[in-house]
Amino acid sequence: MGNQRIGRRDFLKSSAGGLAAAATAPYYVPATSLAQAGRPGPNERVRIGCIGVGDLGRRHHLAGVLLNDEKIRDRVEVVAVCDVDRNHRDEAAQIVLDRTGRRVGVYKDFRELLERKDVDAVMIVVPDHWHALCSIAAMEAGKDVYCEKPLTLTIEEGKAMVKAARRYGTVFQTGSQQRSDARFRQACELVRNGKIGKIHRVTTHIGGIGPGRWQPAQTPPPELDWDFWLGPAPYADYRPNRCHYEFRWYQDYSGGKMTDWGAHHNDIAQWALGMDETGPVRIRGEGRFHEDGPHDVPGEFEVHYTYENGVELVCYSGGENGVKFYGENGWIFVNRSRIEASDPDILKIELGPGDTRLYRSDHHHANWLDCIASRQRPICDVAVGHRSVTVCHLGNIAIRLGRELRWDPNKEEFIDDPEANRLLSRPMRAPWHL
Amino acid sequence: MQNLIEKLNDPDSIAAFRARQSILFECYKAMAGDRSARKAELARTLADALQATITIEPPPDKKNAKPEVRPKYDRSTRIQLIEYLALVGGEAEVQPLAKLLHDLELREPARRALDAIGSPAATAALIAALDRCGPEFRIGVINTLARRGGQEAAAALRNLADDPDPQVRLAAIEALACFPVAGHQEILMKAYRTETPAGRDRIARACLRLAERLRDAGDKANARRIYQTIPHESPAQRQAAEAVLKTLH
Repeated sequence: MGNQRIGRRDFLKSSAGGLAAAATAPYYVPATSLAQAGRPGPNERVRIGCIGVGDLGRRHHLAGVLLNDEKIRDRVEVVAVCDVDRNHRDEAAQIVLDRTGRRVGVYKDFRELLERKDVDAVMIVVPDHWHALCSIAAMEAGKDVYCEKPLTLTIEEGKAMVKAARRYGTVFQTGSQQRSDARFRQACELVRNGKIGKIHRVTTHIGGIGPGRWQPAQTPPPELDWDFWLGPAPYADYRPNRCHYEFRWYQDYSGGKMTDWGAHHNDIAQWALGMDETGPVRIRGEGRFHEDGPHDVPGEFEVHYTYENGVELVCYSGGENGVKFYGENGWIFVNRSRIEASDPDILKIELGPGDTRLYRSDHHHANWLDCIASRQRPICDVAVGHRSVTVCHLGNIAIRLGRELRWDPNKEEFIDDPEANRLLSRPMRAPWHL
Repeated sequence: MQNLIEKLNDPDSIAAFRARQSILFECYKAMAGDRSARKAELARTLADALQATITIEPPPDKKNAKPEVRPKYDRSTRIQLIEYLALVGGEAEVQPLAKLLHDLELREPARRALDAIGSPAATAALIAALDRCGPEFRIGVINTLARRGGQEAAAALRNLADDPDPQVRLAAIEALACFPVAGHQEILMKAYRTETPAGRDRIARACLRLAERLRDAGDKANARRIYQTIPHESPAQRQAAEAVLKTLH
């Protein structure tokens, strides 16, 4: 064969060849874990396309994890980068070249990247209003997906993403990486197993935002395709502080702090309460919006959710960032730097044989790669990410409508409330659609 | 309310923002079952403003010219008004919005507002617009009709399945997959035979969606038939179909 490379898909198409290799190669895992046709096998590098290489996508996911993390870098090969901002994509391509000596495909349009047969999986780190469209297109192209949180802009988008993932058997990891943090898992396991007694209340503290500053409308810089950046969102004139990073504080593109950090801490609340397949049934919320703008998402808020079993979740913009669980015998507080309990001995409790063990992942990206090989669902599967961000969307809707809402988590609609149901989806700017 | 509408395009960004948010929250307040009268009144006020006109008399040196009738509010204000109607508009607002489907600057937000108003009149207005607009906008209307469902929408989409414009045709074919109608498979497969490779890929994806719709609607026999015919040229779709076929009894 010399240096000629045979494509993974071509190789695996011949099942005899694939099985023979599996039987003879010393490092191969049992045949039950063999790759499906067109999927990377457990011992192969996963070829990744990075869709969205702005600050988070480039600095954290690409340079920090995919090319640098010792648990990841030898398991992946970044083969393509994509961004509607030329500076972002060129810098990303340069980073890959500098670190690996390999040139990558550079794309402005994610659909062109997805046409590549040699891309196994994609890392989607684009603004929130693009998550659903990029993810669904990737799944339809047969790629596995890691998509940053918050997973969606609307609840309707999440339902479509879950459907697509199940339709295509996609291994889909939502980027709510606190699920792969030992502290959060410990807190959730203690709560789930009743170690602080019956839970009656959970509070999440996720921060608020300032008003922002007004900038005049400008001609978009030549490196940015602003119309493509807007995509399905309503047309708006370009202002630098509506775009990179700060899009989070405009409701056309995101849900503000409620979805930005709620997708972390409300996700942990859902996990601890065992509510990953469902959600609250009643929601009421209050918010304060900045009178002078330009940010148009709630600056501060307090949302009360009630689950069917009576447990109350309260999501606050204020207070120390973290999640606090209140049980009849004590409390546990957890955030990214510490875990505390009303009695320190609670944290020394070891789970017994009859206790529930939660899904264990010590590395969010590695868990995704493991699952790509095994074809199992990752720790923060698309349905989990969808249900968690649904909690956040429900909060935003309740704040806006200013009244208590009743939610049917099975049908995923408000009960007898066509006005509120109007806010479950947003028609997209043509030609984009789910 | 009138004062707030006047300020929507105030040159002072903060004043305009305050007006925009004030009206928006009036809309949210009215969005409740027990406030339907308030909602209707608010929608009427907004629709009236959307349709308001002013008459500009001709200059004295052109006495024979006719007075010019113009919308009272500029484009940006009217877009804002349309967006409010997407929240509180109802049957009565369909007509003023439908008129805008022929306005090059306002038709896209008007289409989205009609999308949000779930009434048969809105569907009829959107279908009527299909005959009188260019391909780009028709694709938006097609996407809206796909979301709405219903026999009228399906019939209109079937008429577009052999449209000479390839993007319109493919959008219509994709939209047909949103309806659990077994007969749509024939249309999809007929198009598959003549489309480009990229078009065939889109149709294969649509076939999978159609099969899923039928399966979910209880028509397993037709769903199975479609799954079996998903072409091998689209490997992700073929693989997905085979996985379902193993479980579809």
